[in-house]
Amino acid sequence: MRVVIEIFKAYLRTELIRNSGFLFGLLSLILWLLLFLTSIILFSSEEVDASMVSSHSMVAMAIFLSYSIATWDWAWEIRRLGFHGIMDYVITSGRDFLVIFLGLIPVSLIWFSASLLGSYVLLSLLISPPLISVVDLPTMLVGFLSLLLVLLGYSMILGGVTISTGTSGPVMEFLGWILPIATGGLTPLERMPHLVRSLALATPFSYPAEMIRYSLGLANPVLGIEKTIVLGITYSVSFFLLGIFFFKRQIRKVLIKGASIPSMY
Amino acid sequence: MLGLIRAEALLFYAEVLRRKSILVTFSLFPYLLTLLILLIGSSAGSFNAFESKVGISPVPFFISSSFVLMVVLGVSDEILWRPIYNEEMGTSPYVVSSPSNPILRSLAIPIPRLSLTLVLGSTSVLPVLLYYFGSGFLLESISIMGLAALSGLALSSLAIAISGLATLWGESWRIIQVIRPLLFIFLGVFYPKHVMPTFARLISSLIPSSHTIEAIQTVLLGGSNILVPIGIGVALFMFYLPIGQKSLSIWERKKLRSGGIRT
Repeated sequence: MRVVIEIFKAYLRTELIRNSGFLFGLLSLILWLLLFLTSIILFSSEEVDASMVSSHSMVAMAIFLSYSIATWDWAWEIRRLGFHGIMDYVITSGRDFLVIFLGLIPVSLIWFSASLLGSYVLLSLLISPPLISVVDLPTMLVGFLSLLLVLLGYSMILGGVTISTGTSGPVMEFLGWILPIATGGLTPLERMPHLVRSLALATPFSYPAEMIRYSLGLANPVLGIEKTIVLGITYSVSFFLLGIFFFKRQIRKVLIKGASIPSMY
Repeated sequence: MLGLIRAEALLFYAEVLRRKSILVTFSLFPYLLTLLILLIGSSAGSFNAFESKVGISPVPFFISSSFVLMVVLGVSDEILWRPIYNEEMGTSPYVVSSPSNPILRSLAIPIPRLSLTLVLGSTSVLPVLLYYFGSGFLLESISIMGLAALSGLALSSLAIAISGLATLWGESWRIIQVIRPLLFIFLGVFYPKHVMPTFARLISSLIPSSHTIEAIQTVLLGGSNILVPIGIGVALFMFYLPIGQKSLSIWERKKLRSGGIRT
């Protein structure tokens, strides 16, 4: 536990406190959101309820931000540790590599909460305050927990691939963009074409988004809520376990062959 | 200058050929960005509402805008991150001690990268615009590709100025992370300059590429008056060159004084 706290303190200082990192990070995020939101405003018409548009945009941003955290804060961090040669020290310390994640996740959650608040303010200023009304709290909690498990599994698979092959940044960036689009992160599955819907349902990513949208009264899951919850929990737990298994396997490979040095970008 | 361009081209093409996945993902990005905006945009309103405000259907508009964004991003990112990249790779001392002119060295960065405009344009803008407007739009599509390359070049002097000045801040990557999206907002690439509020339009006018991007949007809307914005863009590019030169001197002096403090 002491190690986890020290890791948490180190990341908190590096990412959020040092050189006003929190302020600059938040400002950067708000500006990127502004870049895309201003173009979306050009589609607005009086026939569509502005608060519903805001609510859907808010959920889309929440999902996109969480995928972004999994890609850039978690998977990219594994890559960064490899690039700077820190990974060798972590391995030789004899501690489980996953201890890094335990210290890093609370920092990511602080960042996630602040980003959501920033998105809320931005949407309120540009479109309309999003309507946030929880209609099914247990489903919402299950949805967020499943999302966390899926993203941890995803980051471990991506991080594992990175340390064993030295994946480049653009590929990670591409994955970070395509996944939320193709798996129903940005729009409810019921509004997507059948082919994309089937593809999304074949991945573990669509179920948490469907549960969260349902719990906020924004959309109905295409498979029905009971089936979505059962499949969502099963899929997210399995994916998380697969992620751990895969990552540990890559670490074992690194111990035998040595780590690939990922390129900077 | 030719030697610098050749050296930069050798490094760049070796990297592209070594990691072809970058080229593939780079080519897919205009489609990805367009899809993202169209998906959220269609749930926020309608294509007709967009057309009545901007004067063109969102599909050709956003495929062109995303293409331009990728071209400009490819150039500006390379210039903005170069001091940090050299620091990370340990090549800063070699760069500082090099006898070549710093401003020419930085201006050589975008030139080989702009050849990717041809690849990116022929896989995104060209097929989509020809599908939408027919083969009669071929010349316009090619001119959009040329203007996108010019937009990348035009931004280089301002990007050089920013990259050097940003090192005055302890960890320059933090300030660059803020400047990048700010630049893209004021470029008017997704939100055209003519629909911006007056204050934003004034700031936008100070960025060289915002004028060449305005020219691209004029071509898309069927207009032909593009020489004036191109002229202003080139003039602003020249205006920022001495500032870029000064900015690079500041960076070099800082490196010599500090002996390797992280930029």
